[in-house]
Formats: sequence, structure tokens, C-alpha cells
Amino acid sequence: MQNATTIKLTIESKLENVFLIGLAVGGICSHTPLNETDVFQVKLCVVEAVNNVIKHAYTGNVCHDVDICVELRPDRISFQICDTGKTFEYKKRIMADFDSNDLKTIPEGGMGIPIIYAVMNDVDYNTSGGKNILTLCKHFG
Amino acid sequence: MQLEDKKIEGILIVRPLEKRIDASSATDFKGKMVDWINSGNSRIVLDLSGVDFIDSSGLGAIVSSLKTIGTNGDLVICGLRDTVMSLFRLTRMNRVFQIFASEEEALSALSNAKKSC
Repeated sequence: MQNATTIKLTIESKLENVFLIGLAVGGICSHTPLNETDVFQVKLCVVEAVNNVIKHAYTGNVCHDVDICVELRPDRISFQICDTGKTFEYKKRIMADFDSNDLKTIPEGGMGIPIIYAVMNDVDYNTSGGKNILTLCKHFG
Repeated sequence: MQLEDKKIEGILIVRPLEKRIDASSATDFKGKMVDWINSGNSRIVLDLSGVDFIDSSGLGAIVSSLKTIGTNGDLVICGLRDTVMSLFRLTRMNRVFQIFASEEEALSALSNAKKSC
């Protein structure tokens, strides 16, 4: 088993707190082999996942914890985003088709999960003992 | 959300003064954009040169602004950083928006578009 280092972060379920997670994830990722764009995209995925917890699992209610565990290995970085709210649908989705010349077909929402699946190498969602755990993994190289 | 606005030859240039357009600021951003559009601004340059992070909520607010203008005007983007551009590519929104490197290029394009009508 390759050595892993771990850091655990917790924020209260408020959207204005999410940027702190982004800063932390961006900072950690900037010390991995990921390039600048990959770092941005990984940060984006974790932010999207945390936003989903706040908006959908906790339905916008504050005073709940969103726990993020970051595990850094020599060949990958993983994130576990945990909550005790409503179970969320995390089936794989790709960006919906749209006609870029027809404004009516262009989506304004629902882009978070397609972004996560497009960027991350592994996405896993589990519920156990009242706790929802989304695991995202990005490989290096 | 703090936005700076100025008008040059009838074109409104909007520049966020904050580094992020995200879920916490998207609603406010959209509200301000809609107010400007409903006030009669139909040619808008959104200068994102100071923005280093947009999430899908922020992008949705920009799309919503474009839809509010509709076919009666133009909303173009300038100054997009390479990292943020990758979000537009991931979501194929780079095919939806005209994206220019600088405010000058964006203004020139919108001015020329008006002249050719």
C-alpha cells in the first residue's frame, strides 16, 4: 500500500464558506504534478460537490457540517466529501446536447455532475449509517 | 457582488471586482446583469480578466444573462484566463459565447457588428 497523507476539513453548510475549501484544495493540488488547468478543474469539482451537499443534501439549511477528507498519494489525490443530509443522485451524466445557436436549448444549470465526471478519474457515491460519502479521485500523469 | 460598469460608444462594459463568480454570488451577479439589460443595455462586454474562479452556478448566471438579452443584442466576454476558459470548454460554452482576448477587441467587434446591420 502506497503511503498516503491526509488532511480533514470541515465547513458549516453555507455557500459563502465554500471558497475556503477551494483555496485549500487549490493549495494542496499546486504541490502535486497536476498542471495549472488540472488544479483549477480539480478544485472546481470539489467545489461543485460541496455546493451539491449544501443545496441538495442539506436543502440550503445552515448549521450542518460538510466534511472533506483529502488523501494525497504519490500517484493520485482523493477527496471524500461527507454529509448527513438527504441522499443525492450521483449517476454518471454527461453535458446535455444543445444547439449553440438556439438560446432556448442552452442549459443554465445541471452542469456540476457532468463536470465532475469529465474531470475525475474515479467517482463513487455511497451511503452508510446515515452518512453520504462522495469519493473523487484524480490520477497524476 | 461588486461590479464595475462603464459605457463606451453605447456599449456597456461590466467588470467583476471580485475574483470569484460562484454559487454564493451568482444570484446577485445575475440580478445586476438583468437590471442593466432591462434598462436598455443591449450590447455588453463582460470583462472577466480579474476573475480566477467560476463554478457552474456562476457560469449559469452568465448564460442566463445572455438569454435575457436574447437575439436583440450581444453579450460577449473578454479577458478570460486559460484556467477559467477550461470550464467553458468542459461545458461547451466556448461555442455559445464570443470570447475575446481584450476589451479593445471586444469593443471593436461589437462596434463593427452594429455598423454592418
